[in-house]
Amino acid sequence: MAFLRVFGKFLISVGVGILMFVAWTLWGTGFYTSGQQNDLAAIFDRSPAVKPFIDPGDGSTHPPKGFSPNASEAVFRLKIPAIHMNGDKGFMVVEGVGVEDLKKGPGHYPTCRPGFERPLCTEFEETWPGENGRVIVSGHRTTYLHPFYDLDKLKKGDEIITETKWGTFTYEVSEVRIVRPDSLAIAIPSDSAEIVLTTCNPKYSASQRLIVFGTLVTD
Amino acid sequence: MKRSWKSILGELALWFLVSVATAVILVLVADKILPANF
Repeated sequence: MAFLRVFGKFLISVGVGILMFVAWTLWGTGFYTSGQQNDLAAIFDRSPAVKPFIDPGDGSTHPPKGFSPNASEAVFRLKIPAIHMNGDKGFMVVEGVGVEDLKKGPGHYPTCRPGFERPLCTEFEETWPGENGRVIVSGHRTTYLHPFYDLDKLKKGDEIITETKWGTFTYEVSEVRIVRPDSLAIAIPSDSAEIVLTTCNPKYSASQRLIVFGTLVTD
Repeated sequence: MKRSWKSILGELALWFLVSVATAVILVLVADKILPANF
């Protein structure tokens, strides 16, 4: 009887520990991301604007030649007014989609080069805001300040704004799609200028992927 | 037999430590047990 009493108390204690873990996962992780976002924003805002490279052939806008940020560096600011991301401040997007990168904020899917390894990089050429191709951004849905918490609320025509050091580029949502987690729907290169936001679906689960497609409308 | 408040407090502290230890272990393995974009 005494053993059962002690074992019961032990199970209750472990249960309380699991609840503590859930609380840390859902809210505690946000404190870390919030601090990282403040630091990234400060560094990004301090760095000077750069002159874009305009392709003389098709007039498309590109970052300066040789632009090749390191993992976890802030690369652009992402704002989605329709869902008031981060109280309309938006999120700094970091380079890379590794576990540590995504703890800091949404991550830009990089090309495979030193510092990035498969499967967390693409064999295709990296696409940046303003360029023809697919800018892919991955982010947390419910943890680490949940940047893409309300991504499912986006509707066709909603604005997705990317502020880079070589210009501001606005995309409009063209499609919201839910796919299987192993789907390669976003890995297909595109000839048009697109942004793709991807996260887990439904909330608090990873059984599906939520994908938002946007098309460049201005630069 | 009536227990002293020190004994009750000690036992509570012990179970609290078990809770904290459980939470810390789960936090340490969180990157392995949670999906990447959760």
